[in-house]
Amino acid sequence: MSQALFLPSLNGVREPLTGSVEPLRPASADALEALVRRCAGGDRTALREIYDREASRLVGVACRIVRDRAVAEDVVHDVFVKIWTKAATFDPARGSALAWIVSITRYRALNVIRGSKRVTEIDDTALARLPDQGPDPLAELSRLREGDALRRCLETLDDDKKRAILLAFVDGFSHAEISAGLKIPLGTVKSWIRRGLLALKGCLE
Amino acid sequence: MNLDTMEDRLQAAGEYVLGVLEPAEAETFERALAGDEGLRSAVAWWEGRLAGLSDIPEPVPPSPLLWERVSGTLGGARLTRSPSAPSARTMTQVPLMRRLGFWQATTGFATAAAIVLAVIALVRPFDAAAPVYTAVLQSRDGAEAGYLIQADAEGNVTLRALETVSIASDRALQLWTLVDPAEGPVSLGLLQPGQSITVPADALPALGGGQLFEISVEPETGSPIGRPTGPVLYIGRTVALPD
Repeated sequence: MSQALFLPSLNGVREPLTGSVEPLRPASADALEALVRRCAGGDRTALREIYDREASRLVGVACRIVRDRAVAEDVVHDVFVKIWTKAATFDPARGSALAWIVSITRYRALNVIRGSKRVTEIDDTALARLPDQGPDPLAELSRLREGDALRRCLETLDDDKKRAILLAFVDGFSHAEISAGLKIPLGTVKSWIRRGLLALKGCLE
Repeated sequence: MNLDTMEDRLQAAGEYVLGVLEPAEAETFERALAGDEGLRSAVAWWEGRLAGLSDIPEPVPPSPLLWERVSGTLGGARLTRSPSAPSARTMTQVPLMRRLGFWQATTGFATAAAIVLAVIALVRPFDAAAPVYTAVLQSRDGAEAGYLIQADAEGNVTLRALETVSIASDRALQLWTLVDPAEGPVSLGLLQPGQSITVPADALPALGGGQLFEISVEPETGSPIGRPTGPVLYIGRTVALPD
Protein backbone atom coordinates (compact mmCIF):
# COMPACT_ATOMS: atom_id res chain seq x y z
CA MET A 1 0.00 0.00 0.00
CA SER A 2 1.46 3.32 -0.96
CA GLN A 3 1.38 6.13 1.53
CA ALA A 4 1.15 9.71 0.41
CA LEU A 5 0.61 11.52 3.66
CA PHE A 6 1.68 15.04 4.23
CA LEU A 7 2.92 16.14 7.58
CA PRO A 8 4.22 19.54 8.54
CA SER A 9 7.97 19.12 8.81
CA LEU A 10 9.98 20.88 11.45
CA ASN A 11 11.36 23.57 9.21
CA GLY A 12 7.88 24.52 8.14
CA VAL A 13 8.01 23.01 4.67
CA ARG A 14 5.38 20.44 3.82
CA GLU A 15 7.02 17.35 2.51
CA PRO A 16 5.62 14.01 1.46
CA LEU A 17 6.28 11.01 3.65
CA THR A 18 7.20 8.27 1.29
CA GLY A 19 6.40 5.32 3.46
CA SER A 20 9.95 4.64 4.55
CA VAL A 21 8.61 2.56 7.43
CA GLU A 22 7.65 -0.91 6.38
CA PRO A 23 4.02 -1.71 7.07
CA LEU A 24 3.12 -4.12 9.83
CA ARG A 25 3.13 -7.68 8.55
CA PRO A 26 2.80 -6.53 4.94
CA ALA A 27 0.92 -9.54 3.54
CA SER A 28 -1.73 -9.51 6.25
CA ALA A 29 -2.04 -5.71 6.15
CA ASP A 30 -3.55 -5.88 2.68
CA ALA A 31 -5.81 -8.74 3.70
CA LEU A 32 -7.12 -6.76 6.67
CA GLU A 33 -7.80 -3.78 4.46
CA ALA A 34 -9.77 -5.98 2.07
CA LEU A 35 -11.82 -7.31 4.99
CA VAL A 36 -12.70 -3.77 6.13
CA ARG A 37 -13.79 -2.98 2.58
CA ARG A 38 -16.02 -6.06 2.58
CA CYS A 39 -17.56 -4.87 5.86
CA ALA A 40 -18.37 -1.57 4.18
CA GLY A 41 -20.21 -3.61 1.55
CA GLY A 42 -22.32 -5.30 4.21
CA ASP A 43 -20.51 -8.65 4.36
CA ARG A 44 -20.88 -9.88 7.94
CA THR A 45 -18.51 -12.83 7.41
CA ALA A 46 -15.72 -10.30 6.83
CA LEU A 47 -16.35 -8.79 10.26
CA ARG A 48 -16.16 -12.25 11.74
CA GLU A 49 -12.82 -12.81 9.99
CA ILE A 50 -11.44 -9.58 11.41
CA TYR A 51 -12.70 -10.73 14.79
CA ASP A 52 -11.01 -14.12 14.49
CA ARG A 53 -7.74 -12.49 13.46
CA GLU A 54 -7.57 -9.48 15.74
CA ALA A 55 -9.95 -9.78 18.71
CA SER A 56 -7.28 -11.28 21.01
CA ARG A 57 -4.88 -8.48 20.17
CA LEU A 58 -7.56 -5.85 20.78
CA VAL A 59 -8.76 -7.34 24.08
CA GLY A 60 -5.07 -7.43 25.11
CA VAL A 61 -4.58 -3.79 24.14
CA ALA A 62 -7.77 -2.73 25.96
CA CYS A 63 -6.95 -4.86 29.03
CA ARG A 64 -3.64 -3.08 29.57
CA ILE A 65 -5.43 0.27 29.58
CA VAL A 66 -8.64 -0.47 31.51
CA ARG A 67 -7.12 -3.16 33.82
CA ASP A 68 -10.25 -5.25 33.81
CA ARG A 69 -11.02 -8.06 31.45
CA ALA A 70 -14.79 -7.62 31.45
CA VAL A 71 -14.47 -3.89 30.80
CA ALA A 72 -11.91 -4.63 28.08
CA GLU A 73 -14.46 -6.91 26.40
CA ASP A 74 -17.05 -4.13 26.58
CA VAL A 75 -14.54 -1.90 24.82
CA VAL A 76 -13.88 -4.49 22.12
CA HIS A 77 -17.63 -5.05 21.65
CA ASP A 78 -17.97 -1.34 20.89
CA VAL A 79 -14.92 -1.51 18.62
CA PHE A 80 -16.43 -4.23 16.44
CA VAL A 81 -19.78 -2.46 16.24
CA LYS A 82 -17.87 0.63 15.17
CA ILE A 83 -15.77 -1.25 12.61
CA TRP A 84 -19.03 -2.49 11.10
CA THR A 85 -20.92 0.80 11.15
CA LYS A 86 -17.95 3.02 10.18
CA ALA A 87 -16.21 0.72 7.68
CA ALA A 88 -17.25 2.95 4.79
CA THR A 89 -15.34 5.86 6.37
CA PHE A 90 -12.04 3.94 6.52
CA ASP A 91 -9.59 5.59 4.13
CA PRO A 92 -6.51 3.50 3.29
CA ALA A 93 -4.72 6.65 2.11
CA ARG A 94 -4.67 7.82 5.72
CA GLY A 95 -3.19 4.67 7.22
CA SER A 96 -3.39 0.91 7.52
CA ALA A 97 -6.52 -0.95 8.56
CA LEU A 98 -4.68 -2.26 11.61
CA ALA A 99 -3.76 1.28 12.67
CA TRP A 100 -7.41 2.27 12.24
CA ILE A 101 -8.67 -0.62 14.35
CA VAL A 102 -6.01 -0.24 17.05
CA SER A 103 -6.74 3.50 17.25
CA ILE A 104 -10.48 2.94 17.67
CA THR A 105 -9.68 0.51 20.48
CA ARG A 106 -7.25 2.78 22.30
CA TYR A 107 -9.44 5.89 22.12
CA ARG A 108 -12.43 3.91 23.34
CA ALA A 109 -10.43 2.39 26.22
CA LEU A 110 -8.97 5.79 27.15
CA ASN A 111 -12.47 7.29 27.14
CA VAL A 112 -13.64 4.58 29.49
CA ILE A 113 -10.89 5.19 32.06
CA ARG A 114 -10.95 8.97 31.83
CA GLY A 115 -14.69 9.34 31.46
CA SER A 116 -15.82 12.75 30.41
CA LYS A 117 -14.62 14.27 33.66
CA ARG A 118 -12.17 17.11 33.38
CA VAL A 119 -9.84 15.92 36.09
CA THR A 120 -6.44 17.40 36.55
CA GLU A 121 -5.77 15.86 39.92
CA ILE A 122 -4.99 12.25 40.54
CA ASP A 123 -7.96 10.55 42.15
CA ASP A 124 -8.09 7.22 43.91
CA THR A 125 -8.98 5.30 40.79
CA ALA A 126 -5.97 6.66 38.98
CA LEU A 127 -3.74 6.03 41.99
CA ALA A 128 -4.65 2.36 41.85
CA ARG A 129 -3.16 2.12 38.37
CA LEU A 130 0.00 4.16 38.71
CA PRO A 131 2.98 3.03 36.70
CA ASP A 132 5.19 2.03 39.62
CA GLN A 133 4.60 -1.70 39.26
CA GLY A 134 3.92 -4.12 36.50
CA PRO A 135 6.21 -5.13 33.69
CA ASP A 136 9.16 -2.91 32.82
CA PRO A 137 8.14 -1.20 29.60
CA LEU A 138 11.72 -1.20 28.37
CA ALA A 139 11.99 -4.99 28.57
CA GLU A 140 8.70 -5.32 26.70
CA LEU A 141 10.14 -3.56 23.70
CA SER A 142 11.70 -6.89 22.76
CA ARG A 143 8.21 -8.09 21.78
CA LEU A 144 8.47 -5.97 18.66
CA ARG A 145 10.05 -7.63 15.69
CA GLU A 146 13.82 -7.43 15.43
CA GLY A 147 14.64 -4.92 12.73
CA ASP A 148 11.21 -3.24 13.00
CA ALA A 149 11.68 0.48 12.31
CA LEU A 150 9.60 1.53 15.29
CA ARG A 151 11.61 -0.67 17.62
CA ARG A 152 14.89 0.52 16.15
CA CYS A 153 13.87 4.17 16.54
CA LEU A 154 12.53 3.74 20.06
CA GLU A 155 15.80 2.07 21.02
CA THR A 156 17.71 5.21 20.05
CA LEU A 157 15.83 7.20 22.73
CA ASP A 158 17.05 7.72 26.31
CA ASP A 159 15.48 5.23 28.70
CA ASP A 160 13.43 7.98 30.36
CA LYS A 161 11.81 9.12 27.13
CA LYS A 162 11.31 5.57 25.91
CA ARG A 163 9.68 4.53 29.18
CA ALA A 164 7.37 7.55 29.25
CA ILE A 165 6.18 6.98 25.69
CA LEU A 166 5.55 3.27 26.25
CA LEU A 167 3.70 3.89 29.54
CA ALA A 168 1.48 6.33 27.68
CA PHE A 169 0.75 4.22 24.60
CA VAL A 170 0.64 0.72 26.05
CA ASP A 171 -0.76 1.41 29.53
CA GLY A 172 -2.78 4.52 28.79
CA PHE A 173 -1.20 6.69 31.50
CA SER A 174 -1.57 10.46 31.25
CA HIS A 175 1.21 12.97 31.86
CA ALA A 176 -0.04 13.42 35.43
CA GLU A 177 -0.20 9.69 36.11
CA ILE A 178 3.30 9.07 34.81
CA SER A 179 4.56 11.99 36.89
CA ALA A 180 2.90 10.68 40.07
CA GLY A 181 3.89 7.07 39.45
CA LEU A 182 7.52 7.70 38.65
CA LYS A 183 7.74 10.59 41.16
CA ILE A 184 9.10 12.90 38.50
CA PRO A 185 7.94 16.53 38.15
CA LEU A 186 5.08 16.95 35.68
CA GLY A 187 7.06 19.40 33.54
CA THR A 188 9.89 16.90 33.19
CA VAL A 189 7.52 14.14 32.05
CA LYS A 190 5.92 16.45 29.48
CA SER A 191 9.34 17.42 28.20
CA TRP A 192 10.49 13.77 27.93
CA ILE A 193 7.45 12.89 25.88
CA ARG A 194 7.69 15.92 23.62
CA ARG A 195 11.38 15.48 22.97
CA GLY A 196 10.89 11.75 22.56
CA LEU A 197 8.18 12.30 19.96
CA LEU A 198 10.36 14.76 18.05
CA ALA A 199 13.27 12.34 18.00
CA LEU A 200 10.97 9.50 16.93
CA LYS A 201 9.56 11.56 14.11
CA GLY A 202 13.02 12.37 12.85
CA CYS A 203 14.02 8.71 12.97
CA LEU A 204 10.83 7.29 11.44
CA GLU A 205 10.68 9.62 8.46
CA MET B 1 -2.49 24.39 24.05
CA ASN B 2 -0.13 25.99 21.60
CA LEU B 3 -0.56 25.04 17.95
CA ASP B 4 1.32 27.94 16.40
CA THR B 5 4.49 26.37 15.08
CA MET B 6 4.91 23.20 13.06
CA GLU B 7 6.81 21.72 15.97
CA ASP B 8 3.95 22.47 18.37
CA ARG B 9 1.45 20.90 16.00
CA LEU B 10 3.49 17.76 15.50
CA GLN B 11 4.00 17.34 19.25
CA ALA B 12 0.35 17.99 20.07
CA ALA B 13 -0.74 15.38 17.49
CA GLY B 14 1.70 12.87 18.98
CA GLU B 15 0.52 13.60 22.52
CA TYR B 16 -3.08 13.26 21.43
CA VAL B 17 -2.41 9.86 19.84
CA LEU B 18 -0.47 8.70 22.90
CA GLY B 19 -3.44 9.78 25.02
CA VAL B 20 -1.43 11.79 27.55
CA LEU B 21 -3.43 15.01 27.22
CA GLU B 22 -5.76 15.92 30.06
CA PRO B 23 -9.42 15.76 29.01
CA ALA B 24 -9.72 19.55 28.65
CA GLU B 25 -6.58 19.68 26.47
CA ALA B 26 -7.81 16.75 24.38
CA GLU B 27 -11.12 18.55 23.79
CA THR B 28 -9.31 21.69 22.70
CA PHE B 29 -7.20 19.63 20.34
CA GLU B 30 -10.24 17.83 18.91
CA ARG B 31 -11.93 21.17 18.19
CA ALA B 32 -8.81 22.30 16.31
CA LEU B 33 -8.70 18.96 14.51
CA ALA B 34 -12.17 19.38 13.06
CA GLY B 35 -11.15 22.23 10.76
CA ASP B 36 -7.52 21.43 10.13
CA GLU B 37 -6.60 18.85 7.50
CA GLY B 38 -2.87 19.17 8.24
CA LEU B 39 -3.45 18.33 11.87
CA ARG B 40 -5.61 15.35 10.90
CA SER B 41 -2.81 14.06 8.67
CA ALA B 42 -0.37 14.46 11.54
CA VAL B 43 -2.67 12.41 13.80
CA ALA B 44 -3.05 9.71 11.12
CA TRP B 45 0.72 9.61 10.69
CA TRP B 46 1.32 9.00 14.39
CA GLU B 47 -1.50 6.46 14.57
CA GLY B 48 0.09 4.55 11.70
CA ARG B 49 3.62 4.68 13.04
CA LEU B 50 2.75 3.75 16.64
CA ALA B 51 0.14 1.04 15.90
CA GLY B 52 2.92 -1.57 15.95
CA LEU B 53 3.10 -1.08 19.73
CA SER B 54 -0.11 -3.12 19.87
CA ASP B 55 2.25 -6.13 19.57
CA ILE B 56 3.43 -5.43 23.13
CA PRO B 57 0.39 -6.38 25.26
CA GLU B 58 -0.09 -10.10 25.76
CA PRO B 59 -3.02 -11.16 23.53
CA VAL B 60 -6.11 -12.01 25.58
CA PRO B 61 -8.55 -14.42 23.91
CA PRO B 62 -12.07 -13.00 24.19
CA SER B 63 -14.72 -14.98 26.01
CA PRO B 64 -16.94 -17.07 23.70
CA LEU B 65 -19.83 -14.69 24.46
CA LEU B 66 -18.18 -11.61 23.02
CA TRP B 67 -18.86 -12.38 19.37
CA GLU B 68 -22.45 -13.21 20.22
CA ARG B 69 -22.84 -9.85 21.90
CA VAL B 70 -21.38 -8.07 18.88
CA SER B 71 -23.59 -9.92 16.47
CA GLY B 72 -26.60 -9.45 18.76
CA THR B 73 -26.05 -5.70 18.80
CA LEU B 74 -25.74 -5.56 15.04
CA GLY B 75 -28.82 -7.67 14.52
CA GLY B 76 -29.07 -11.21 13.35
CA ALA B 77 -28.96 -12.67 16.83
CA ARG B 78 -30.25 -16.15 17.43
CA LEU B 79 -31.30 -17.70 20.66
CA THR B 80 -27.99 -19.38 21.21
CA ARG B 81 -26.90 -17.45 24.26
CA SER B 82 -24.63 -19.71 26.25
CA PRO B 83 -26.00 -21.15 29.46
CA SER B 84 -22.83 -19.89 31.14
CA ALA B 85 -24.30 -16.42 31.57
CA PRO B 86 -26.93 -16.91 34.23
CA SER B 87 -26.41 -13.53 35.87
CA ALA B 88 -27.15 -11.62 32.71
CA ARG B 89 -30.26 -13.65 32.14
CA THR B 90 -31.53 -13.12 35.67
CA MET B 91 -31.00 -9.41 35.29
CA THR B 92 -33.03 -9.22 32.11
CA GLN B 93 -36.11 -10.75 33.60
CA VAL B 94 -37.24 -8.19 36.12
CA PRO B 95 -37.27 -5.01 34.06
CA LEU B 96 -38.73 -6.82 31.11
CA MET B 97 -41.60 -8.26 33.08
CA ARG B 98 -42.17 -4.84 34.53
CA ARG B 99 -42.44 -3.44 31.02
CA LEU B 100 -44.87 -6.15 30.04
CA GLY B 101 -47.06 -5.22 32.98
CA PHE B 102 -46.86 -1.60 32.00
CA TRP B 103 -47.83 -2.38 28.45
CA GLN B 104 -50.79 -4.49 29.47
CA ALA B 105 -51.98 -2.03 32.08
CA THR B 106 -51.72 1.21 30.15
CA THR B 107 -52.65 0.49 26.59
CA GLY B 108 -54.56 -2.70 26.50
CA PHE B 109 -54.29 -5.33 23.88
CA ALA B 110 -57.71 -4.78 22.36
CA THR B 111 -57.05 -1.10 21.70
CA ALA B 112 -53.72 -1.88 20.13
CA ALA B 113 -55.20 -4.52 17.91
CA ALA B 114 -57.90 -2.13 16.77
CA ILE B 115 -55.29 0.46 15.78
CA VAL B 116 -53.23 -2.20 14.05
CA LEU B 117 -56.11 -3.36 11.94
CA ALA B 118 -57.10 0.19 11.05
CA VAL B 119 -53.58 0.92 9.83
CA ILE B 120 -53.32 -2.36 7.97
CA ALA B 121 -56.52 -1.67 6.11
CA LEU B 122 -54.75 1.32 4.60
CA VAL B 123 -51.39 -0.26 3.96
CA ARG B 124 -52.24 -3.73 2.81
CA PRO B 125 -53.37 -3.13 -0.75
CA PHE B 126 -49.96 -1.67 -1.60
CA ASP B 127 -47.90 -4.63 -0.41
CA ALA B 128 -46.93 -7.34 -2.81
CA ALA B 129 -46.16 -9.82 -0.05
CA ALA B 130 -49.18 -9.71 2.19
CA PRO B 131 -48.28 -9.49 5.84
CA VAL B 132 -49.14 -12.36 8.09
CA TYR B 133 -48.39 -10.64 11.35
CA THR B 134 -48.35 -6.97 12.12
CA ALA B 135 -47.87 -4.61 15.03
CA VAL B 136 -47.87 -0.91 15.71
CA LEU B 137 -45.14 0.12 18.11
CA GLN B 138 -46.58 2.90 20.20
CA SER B 139 -45.19 5.35 22.71
CA ARG B 140 -45.63 4.14 26.23
CA ASP B 141 -48.55 6.45 26.88
CA GLY B 142 -50.19 5.11 23.76
CA ALA B 143 -50.40 8.61 22.29
CA GLU B 144 -48.06 8.16 19.32
CA ALA B 145 -47.58 5.40 16.80
CA GLY B 146 -43.83 5.28 16.05
CA TYR B 147 -43.29 2.24 13.87
CA LEU B 148 -45.26 -0.28 11.89
CA ILE B 149 -44.03 -3.87 11.88
CA GLN B 150 -45.11 -6.30 9.20
CA ALA B 151 -44.02 -9.90 8.82
CA ASP B 152 -44.57 -11.84 5.61
CA ALA B 153 -45.31 -15.52 5.27
CA GLU B 154 -41.61 -16.35 5.10
CA GLY B 155 -41.00 -14.59 8.39
CA ASN B 156 -39.15 -11.54 7.07
CA VAL B 157 -39.95 -8.55 9.24
CA THR B 158 -40.17 -5.03 7.89
CA LEU B 159 -40.01 -2.12 10.29
CA ARG B 160 -41.41 1.10 8.86
CA ALA B 161 -40.87 4.44 10.59
CA LEU B 162 -44.13 6.36 11.03
CA GLU B 163 -42.40 9.32 12.63
CA THR B 164 -38.86 10.61 13.14
CA VAL B 165 -37.96 10.94 16.77
CA SER B 166 -35.04 13.18 17.70
CA ILE B 167 -32.23 11.70 19.79
CA ALA B 168 -28.74 12.92 20.75
CA SER B 169 -26.08 12.47 18.05
CA ASP B 170 -24.16 9.92 20.13
CA ARG B 171 -27.25 7.70 20.53
CA ALA B 172 -28.92 5.13 18.33
CA LEU B 173 -32.25 3.34 18.37
CA GLN B 174 -32.15 -0.40 18.96
CA LEU B 175 -34.89 -2.84 17.99
CA TRP B 176 -35.60 -5.76 20.30
CA THR B 177 -37.95 -8.68 20.38
CA LEU B 178 -38.90 -11.04 23.14
CA VAL B 179 -39.69 -14.67 22.47
CA ASP B 180 -38.75 -16.38 25.68
CA PRO B 181 -39.00 -14.28 28.86
CA ALA B 182 -36.43 -16.54 30.50
CA GLU B 183 -34.02 -15.81 27.68
CA GLY B 184 -34.60 -12.07 27.66
CA PRO B 185 -34.94 -9.66 24.77
CA VAL B 186 -32.90 -10.26 21.61
CA SER B 187 -31.43 -7.38 19.63
CA LEU B 188 -32.53 -7.16 16.01
CA GLY B 189 -30.21 -4.30 15.21
CA LEU B 190 -29.49 -0.59 15.40
CA LEU B 191 -31.33 2.05 13.44
CA GLN B 192 -31.34 5.78 13.02
CA PRO B 193 -34.49 7.87 13.63
CA GLY B 194 -36.79 7.77 10.64
CA GLN B 195 -35.01 4.75 9.17
CA SER B 196 -37.03 1.78 7.95
CA ILE B 197 -35.31 -1.62 8.00
CA THR B 198 -35.95 -5.22 7.07
CA VAL B 199 -34.88 -8.03 9.35
CA PRO B 200 -34.53 -11.28 7.39
CA ALA B 201 -36.32 -14.32 8.74
CA ASP B 202 -33.09 -16.13 9.55
CA ALA B 203 -32.05 -13.26 11.85
CA LEU B 204 -35.15 -13.63 14.01
CA PRO B 205 -35.22 -16.06 16.91
CA ALA B 206 -38.85 -16.88 16.17
CA LEU B 207 -42.01 -15.18 15.03
CA GLY B 208 -45.58 -15.50 16.14
CA GLY B 209 -48.71 -13.73 17.28
CA GLY B 210 -48.50 -11.74 20.52
CA GLN B 211 -44.72 -11.38 20.22
CA LEU B 212 -43.30 -8.28 21.86
CA PHE B 213 -41.21 -5.82 19.89
CA GLU B 214 -39.76 -2.64 21.30
CA ILE B 215 -37.37 0.18 20.43
CA SER B 216 -35.07 1.69 23.02
CA VAL B 217 -32.57 4.54 22.99
CA GLU B 218 -29.02 3.22 23.37
CA PRO B 219 -25.40 4.38 22.97
CA GLU B 220 -24.41 4.71 19.31
CA THR B 221 -22.67 1.34 19.43
CA GLY B 222 -25.70 -0.36 20.93
CA SER B 223 -26.58 -1.49 24.42
CA PRO B 224 -23.39 -2.46 26.25
CA ILE B 225 -25.09 -5.30 28.11
CA GLY B 226 -27.18 -7.05 25.46
CA ARG B 227 -30.53 -5.90 26.82
CA PRO B 228 -32.27 -2.54 26.70
CA THR B 229 -30.64 0.08 28.93
CA GLY B 230 -32.15 3.32 27.65
CA PRO B 231 -35.74 4.50 27.71
CA VAL B 232 -38.15 2.36 25.70
CA LEU B 233 -39.68 4.73 23.15
CA TYR B 234 -42.07 2.41 21.38
CA ILE B 235 -43.49 -0.97 22.23
CA GLY B 236 -46.09 -3.31 20.80
CA ARG B 237 -47.12 -6.90 20.13
CA THR B 238 -47.78 -8.69 16.89
CA VAL B 239 -51.24 -9.81 15.92
CA ALA B 240 -52.00 -12.49 13.32
CA LEU B 241 -53.96 -11.10 10.39
CA PRO B 242 -56.95 -12.99 9.09
CA ASP B 243 -56.54 -14.36 5.57
